[in-house]
Amino acid sequence: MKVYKRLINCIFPILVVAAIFLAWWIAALAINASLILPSPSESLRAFFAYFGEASFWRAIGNTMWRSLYSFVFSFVPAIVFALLANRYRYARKLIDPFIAFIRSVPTMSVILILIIWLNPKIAPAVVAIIVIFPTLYSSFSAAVSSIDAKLVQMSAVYRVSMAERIWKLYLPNMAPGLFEGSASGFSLNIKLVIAAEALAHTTASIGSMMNFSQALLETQDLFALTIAAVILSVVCEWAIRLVGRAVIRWK
Amino acid sequence: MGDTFGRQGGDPMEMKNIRLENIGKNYAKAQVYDHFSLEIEGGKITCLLGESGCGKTTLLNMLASLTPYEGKISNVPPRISYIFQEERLLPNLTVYGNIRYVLGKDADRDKIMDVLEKVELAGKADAYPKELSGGQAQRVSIARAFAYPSELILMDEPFSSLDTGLKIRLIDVFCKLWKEENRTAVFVTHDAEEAYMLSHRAVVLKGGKIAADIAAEGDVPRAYGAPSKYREEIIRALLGQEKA
Repeated sequence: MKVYKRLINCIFPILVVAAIFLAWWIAALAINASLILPSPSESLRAFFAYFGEASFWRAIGNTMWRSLYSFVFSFVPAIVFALLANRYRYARKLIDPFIAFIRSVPTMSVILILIIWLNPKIAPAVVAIIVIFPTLYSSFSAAVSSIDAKLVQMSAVYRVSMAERIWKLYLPNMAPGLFEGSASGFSLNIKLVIAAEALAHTTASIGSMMNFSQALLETQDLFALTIAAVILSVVCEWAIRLVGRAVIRWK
Repeated sequence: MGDTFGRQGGDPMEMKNIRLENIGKNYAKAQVYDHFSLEIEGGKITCLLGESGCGKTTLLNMLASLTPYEGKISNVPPRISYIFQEERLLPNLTVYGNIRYVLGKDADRDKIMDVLEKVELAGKADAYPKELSGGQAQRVSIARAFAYPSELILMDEPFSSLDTGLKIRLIDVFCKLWKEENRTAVFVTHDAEEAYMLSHRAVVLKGGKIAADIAAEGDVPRAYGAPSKYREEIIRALLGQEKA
């Protein structure tokens, strides 16, 4: 039964990807203009051709590094704010309007303003922090709220220290929500960093490579870079979920 | 001789009586207690009985400072153990980890294993709560209460969801542990048989007042189903009948 379930879990994503490629291939055949829509085979060829280029790997490294540290800078305050908002009513009254304000600012405005203000290498990371932070805060808040109030009450009766409660009650019971929020959050983070890199013309980045490909009308390269971004995003999301499953053994 | 956790226990005289004086408690528009007073004898098991909503659990929560109230409660020890109706075990910790969690810096592996041995769960020390049966989980909850160095144990219908056989076994386990230290215990139930088996005194509550205060003779646990005047009086008080 377990093997059958695992097989089903593998087969469906493969079928969906195959269907997307098939639709893409049919559309490319119908349009018959690789400048507008290159075929999957042309795009994959361009994708594999990048493997031999050092600049491609440098760009991947830079974009990933930017995504990673911007994610950490969103993740830590999101957890702290979620815990504070859950614990103190007045903290929530301050934090919630602040989050609502950040969330309501259009992403494109944030990107354009920050590009003016900041160094193009830093701006994409700051954009990602500003956009991802409210998303992570919301999912972490939901994770904190899902902690069983009866366990919190039991901990209070037995006078368990706050450090012990955070370490053994709050964090482990928040963990499923933390990993789920982080998996989708990190994936979105990569996409945001790439978009901001493209607009900020950040040197040696996936975003700027996409920008150049578009300017030079090398559409198959643009598609190849998109495939690279999708793979990065999917692999990171999958890796976070895998770590989550390993950590939350008790579930 | 010191108890499992190094305290010099076993003498009920050391446990002070807990006094509730002029207690008032309201929930929204409903008044649960008004000028309610009760003295709980130290080193004994006092049982609180009454219909649902008569304020039994509220009284436990007031003793545990989990709910605000008017009036005065004196001589409540600083450390309290609470056996809840549900086990309230952390799902991410093992049986051993759950007991260690409440002990903090006082935790000592040998002492935890000793109390687990007494509730016959030493072999399950590394099991997670989801791997335990309802009875086993409640035994962990009892072990946790006794492992914690408290002078007062509060119990809120801890046997209500268990079948009779398991209930009798758990009452035996509880009494075995309780006799080592004779901690003051307050036990809430709506089951006259449980009250008869496991208490030295039964206080029947009705409308926020004491409807009957019945003292028992002899030791706990009492034999299940055996004829007893104590049980008869509890049932009569629950039914609102006069004393025979």
